[in-house]
Amino acid sequence: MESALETLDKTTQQVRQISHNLMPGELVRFGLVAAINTLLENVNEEEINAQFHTNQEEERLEPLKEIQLYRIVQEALQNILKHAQAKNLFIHLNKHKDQLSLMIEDDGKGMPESAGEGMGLKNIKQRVQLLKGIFTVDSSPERGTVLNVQIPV
Amino acid sequence: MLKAFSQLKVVGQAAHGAEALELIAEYLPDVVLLDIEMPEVDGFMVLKKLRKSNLNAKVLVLTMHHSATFIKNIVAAGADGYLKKDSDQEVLLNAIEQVHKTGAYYPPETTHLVLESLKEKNKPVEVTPREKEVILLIVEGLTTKDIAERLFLSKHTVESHRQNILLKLEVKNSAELVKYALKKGWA
Repeated sequence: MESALETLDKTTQQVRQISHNLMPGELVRFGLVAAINTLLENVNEEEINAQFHTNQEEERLEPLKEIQLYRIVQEALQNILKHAQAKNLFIHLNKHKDQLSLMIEDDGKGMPESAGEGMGLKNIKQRVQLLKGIFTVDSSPERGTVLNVQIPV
Repeated sequence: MLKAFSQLKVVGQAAHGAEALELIAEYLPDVVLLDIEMPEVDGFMVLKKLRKSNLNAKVLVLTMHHSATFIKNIVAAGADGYLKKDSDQEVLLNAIEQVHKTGAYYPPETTHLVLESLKEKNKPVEVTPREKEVILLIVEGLTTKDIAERLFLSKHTVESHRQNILLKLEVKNSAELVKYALKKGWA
């Protein structure tokens, strides 16, 4: 007879296979702020100093908005870690009246102009469009990059 | 596996959250070993429902997750203990006993994680270097457009910075922000 733990583990594995890549469990259970915190916990402290500021600790958004914003942060984080050579990274997620503002700022070497054509930024742009939001990228050599997303909520 | 321990009696096993809730209500166990990753009603939902009910079973959460964020969330939801799924038998047995006797079990490395992250939270408000630049230019009396040009940023970004700063420093408007900055000796 299988123990409860073994049975549970098998079920878990099956579910995980099915839902892999759909929605991270943490996002579904605890929301966007917790999921971003976890993303940042996994960033190597020696590689980059990451800070997250938010006034959304207790808030939950519609699932579609949460997943899109989560993917945007994930995408931006990957870009920064791969290309920016930044020492510091700041994420701000704040609600101002009926607008939610997500800002991802680094102090790296800045993006080359051709970066706008890259898949990463294109994906972010598309996700913001789906959320009917505004997206701007500000980048200059040696002054880092700021990705700024604003969506209606 | 647990049946091998004579001091414990396994009163029920559930394959999903809804069944777990039924079994807990039926058998009123002292301790529930709760897997978070379950189909449909997951362990987190079970935990929340249990805490809303009159059932007072102690809950030891078993999971693959071990981030500080995750642990803080399950503690907030009312878990009495937490254990990684790959912990060995002895640790599991000890955890069950601890939860039963004292009402709490958290592995030492977890306590450390959670305490560290609480410390982080109580750190004084920090503005980022870019925010500081924006604040100083606001103090100088520059408009959003001027600040944008000076810092090579779009107006949209400067405006977002300004709003984030007001929120972070808990000041209502630019005038209050200027007072705040002067008081702090930033300008």
